[in-house]
Amino acid sequence: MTAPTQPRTRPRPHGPGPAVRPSRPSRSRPPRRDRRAPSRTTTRRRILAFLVTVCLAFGALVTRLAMVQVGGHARYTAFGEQQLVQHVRLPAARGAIFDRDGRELAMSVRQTTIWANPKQVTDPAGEAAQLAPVVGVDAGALQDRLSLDGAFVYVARMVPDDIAAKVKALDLPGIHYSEEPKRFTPAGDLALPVIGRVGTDNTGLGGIEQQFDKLLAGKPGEKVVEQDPTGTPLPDGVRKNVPAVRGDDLVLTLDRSLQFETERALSAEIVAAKAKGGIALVMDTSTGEILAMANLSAGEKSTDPPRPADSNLALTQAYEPGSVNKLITISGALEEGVIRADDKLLVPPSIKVADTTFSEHDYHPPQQWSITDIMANSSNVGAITIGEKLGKDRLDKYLRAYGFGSKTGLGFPGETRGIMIDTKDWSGTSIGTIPIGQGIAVTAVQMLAAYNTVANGGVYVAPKLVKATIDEHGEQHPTAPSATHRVVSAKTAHDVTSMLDEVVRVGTGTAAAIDGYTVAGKTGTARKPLVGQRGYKVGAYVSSFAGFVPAERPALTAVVMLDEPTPIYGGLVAAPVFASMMRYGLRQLRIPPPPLSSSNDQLSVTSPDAALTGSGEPDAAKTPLPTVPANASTTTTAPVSTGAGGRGDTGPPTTLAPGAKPPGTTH
Amino acid sequence: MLLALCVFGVVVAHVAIAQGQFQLEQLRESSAQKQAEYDRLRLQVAELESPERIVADAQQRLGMVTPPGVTYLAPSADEPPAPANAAAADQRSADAAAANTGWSTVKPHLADG
Repeated sequence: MTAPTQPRTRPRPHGPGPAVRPSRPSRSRPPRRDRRAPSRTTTRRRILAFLVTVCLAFGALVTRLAMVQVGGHARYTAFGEQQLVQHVRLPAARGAIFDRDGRELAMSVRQTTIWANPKQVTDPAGEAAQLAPVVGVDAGALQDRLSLDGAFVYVARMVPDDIAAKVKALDLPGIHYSEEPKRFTPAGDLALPVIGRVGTDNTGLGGIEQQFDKLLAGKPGEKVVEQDPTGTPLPDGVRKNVPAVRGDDLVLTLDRSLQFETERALSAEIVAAKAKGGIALVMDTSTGEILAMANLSAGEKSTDPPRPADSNLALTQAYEPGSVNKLITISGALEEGVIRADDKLLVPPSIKVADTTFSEHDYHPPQQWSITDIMANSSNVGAITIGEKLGKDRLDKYLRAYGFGSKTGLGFPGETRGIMIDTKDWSGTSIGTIPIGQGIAVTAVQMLAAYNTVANGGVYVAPKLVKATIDEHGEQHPTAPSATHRVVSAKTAHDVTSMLDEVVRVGTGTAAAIDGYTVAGKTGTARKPLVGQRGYKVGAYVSSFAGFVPAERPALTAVVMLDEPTPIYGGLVAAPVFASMMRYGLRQLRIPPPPLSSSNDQLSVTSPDAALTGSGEPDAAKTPLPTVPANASTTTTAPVSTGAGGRGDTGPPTTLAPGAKPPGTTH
Repeated sequence: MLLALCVFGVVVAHVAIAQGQFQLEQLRESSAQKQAEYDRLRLQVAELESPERIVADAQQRLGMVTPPGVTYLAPSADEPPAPANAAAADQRSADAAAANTGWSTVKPHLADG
């Protein structure tokens, strides 16, 4: 815009006003020629032009103002808010995971996260060179990040306090700090497949952490504050403050000490037996609470110690159980009255079912065996004979009543229901394979619950892994008691328990014996199916032992499973692990031995069916049981050991003959 | 005059509020730091109590070994029957009570995050 011009010939006004500059000497500039004064028309035009120009400029200003105030109101308000107001997300502390006695298995602690504003970094190469060795990152990669065109890059997330202190001491421009919660497992890898992991964004990625992520994560809060251009909060400038709500804590049913001992015993056996891995579980008999849940895989190299399995295999992996399944066959038959506990069956060395011949592990001539003999010797032919008597529908009914083919109700991520074939799809040989635990697949927890049913007098108690939750006020909320249902009568459970006693006393599971206690259990050695094909993998077995103790008044139920061990027998590799962890569990939980019933410091185990006959399966010492008259009924006493017990050396009172053959199918 | 006094009063109140706000922020910061320190110490205690560390220390530092077996002494039947079940039950309930007591001492310190 130009100012209106005055005619140069017009005389300047006199009087008060700015001093008039004296005219320059005439020698420096020749006097101008006077021009003729403009006409009135010209003046008017100039004034008009000036007014038009002013009006246009004013109009432009008003238009622009209207655009800013009306059209761009929201945009400019937001822009201003952005400069003035800061929204701060307040992360919620993730709840801790405790064992049953309140010992931390997983907890979160705030750690320092180091970040940079590349726009404020003056020397990316120099700062990267100083930071890299402290935070343990590659200097080149860090320099690239510090050179990015942005206002935020991570330098290192959730670093320990000492590292954060070292970085702060460097006092580098453009480096900033914030706090983030980091998940720790104070007991190391203990029960890691059960607990699961948490990602860097504080989200559960597996196991309990994933299953209860919503509960554990809590609710983040938000704070809205006004700040000055330097980022300093303005006094009384808090517009909104919603505090974060801490996540609830979880109390698991696991016992940290028993978990450790269970993992230790399992780990030692995996190494000793060169197994691919293993599972070991311990349950509180009456409540169904799982006290220990060990899932281990062999190390990469043979010299490496076993490591936590990638997932909770006890729930996510189904396997063919083998002879431990004979419990279901025999208890179902007893319950249905198909057989009686004192019955004797003629057991030949082999039996043909459809087009397949099933054999005993060790040849024996046809013999009259009691049901206890069949159980104690893990006779395949005997179990198949009983299975045929029971029939496929009733066998299927009991398998399902014991919990097979259904999820346990734990709701664990990735839990499998196992494999159960509908009876209409059974092949001709199914009635031969399923009674001995082949042709179906179960999880270790399902098998644990099945044995626990017998231990509970025939009542199934659903497994339980979470004992209580603790809210943000510190109040404990116990979880509901496990659901129960009766599967077999108390009498049937008692009869089967007596048979399982014999398995450990004189049968295939002697290595599970524990000095001073009566152990009831069953061994299993099952062939492993080929993956994606029909048939079984040659030389590959899953060996297991399941049982409970004390047999007279069960308090602990347990299952041990080893994947492809050497030797292959459950009685040799799984039973000792059972004994080891049960010894510790009985001590830890202060479970006393049963009261003595005689006056000479001996425990009495009465078993009317304990006819020590047959050679169906090699026992833990790989020796067949000697044949005694089939109508023998024995009452045996096992002296209480007063010395080092090793594997429970009370042992059978009879001398066992050597010379067992390896098993043919399962035992 | 009255107007000037009112204005002065407002200014004084505003300064007092600002000071209080500043103090509150400082206390919040201090509280957060103490909470973080408490959590760190809890973690440290939990790590020190872990069975793995205790066993490793016992074996490597103290030279202890796992016993090859445990001796059980059975009481004579002539002696009055020991209330084994009752004693064990009592002990377990006492342990449970102790554990519950432990909760009440631990949880009040678990502040909001």
